[in-house]
Amino acid sequence: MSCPSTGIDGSKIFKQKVMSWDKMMSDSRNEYYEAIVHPALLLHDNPRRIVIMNDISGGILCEVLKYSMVKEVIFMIPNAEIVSLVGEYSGKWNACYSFLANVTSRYDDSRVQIHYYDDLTDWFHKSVDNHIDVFFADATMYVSTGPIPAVLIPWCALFH
Amino acid sequence: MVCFVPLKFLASFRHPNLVDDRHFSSVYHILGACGILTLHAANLETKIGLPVLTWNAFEQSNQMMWSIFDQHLFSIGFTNVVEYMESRKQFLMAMKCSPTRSKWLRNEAEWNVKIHQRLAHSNLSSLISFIDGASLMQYQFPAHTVEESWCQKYPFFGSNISSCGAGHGFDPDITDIPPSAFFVQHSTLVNGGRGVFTTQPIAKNSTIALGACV
Repeated sequence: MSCPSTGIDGSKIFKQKVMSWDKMMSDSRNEYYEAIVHPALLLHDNPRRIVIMNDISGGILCEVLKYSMVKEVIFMIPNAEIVSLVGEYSGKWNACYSFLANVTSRYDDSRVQIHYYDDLTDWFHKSVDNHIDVFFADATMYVSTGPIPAVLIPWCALFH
Repeated sequence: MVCFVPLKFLASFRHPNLVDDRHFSSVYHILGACGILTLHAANLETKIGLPVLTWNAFEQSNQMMWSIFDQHLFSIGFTNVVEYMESRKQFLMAMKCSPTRSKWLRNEAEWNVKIHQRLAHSNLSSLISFIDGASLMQYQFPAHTVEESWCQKYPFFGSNISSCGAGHGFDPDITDIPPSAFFVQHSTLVNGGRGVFTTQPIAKNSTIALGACV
């Protein structure tokens, strides 16, 4: 969903939020994605194998794909439905148009391997000796609780 | 044997009572020799998404953060842990080897060089909008709210000159010029336009608004 707010220049700004049942899972504020990704990828000597967990909107994935030295991204997400919904509704937010010229979705990049939570136990068992360089996890969104639908209307109204 | 339950794994980061060493150690063991674990560990907003920072929400977040610090990450083998804050969100970065920690202390120019080296294949300005050398260097200092909460929780360190009493980690020999020392006005020069002026002389090597930025 999108809630419009007013920017500094008076223009309408639409912030997108991904909801699942009563849980807010992610939103489209880029400063957060840049802050979680770039410090780690600039610190590591040679970040080639990356794991991303619980990045519902794919914003972390988009930032990681900006590094050409990254060769493999293991992208862990609850289920396939979320991937298709984000791809369908998030538009430019999903496509990383600024640098992924040849794909229509960030999930289509050849470096990305999508794993669903049902398979993760097996994956972790097999991956103990596969050296991962950087592991990203958004530990706040999916497990947050609260009656989100009940407060969405006043939240939007505040920014009209 | 690595035991891993995905949803419980995520919950273990969110709720201190649910923290389970096995979940952290499963991540630790799949990382390489100098691997890095980065968590978006706390959200200093109300759960409905309003941009309001309340002390209770902040305290809850910080307790969770320090629970992770104190009980788990070091005990399973991470050698260094840093935390930083951006847009009311707290991030936690755990490193497996010490050389990575030394790189965390790069200066602004070194960070900018690294950004250009790694992202030079495209137009930098279109790739990164909010992060640069200055903002990355800013993460080396704890946010004022984090420091205040931590020093209240651990009063012993509050009286210790090497930590909470040491002025937020800034170099005492370097003068920090506050934002209030700057103002904008029309220049007295002909056709000079508007410019930024200072109310006081600024010595060489001074920092500008560093204390207000973190």
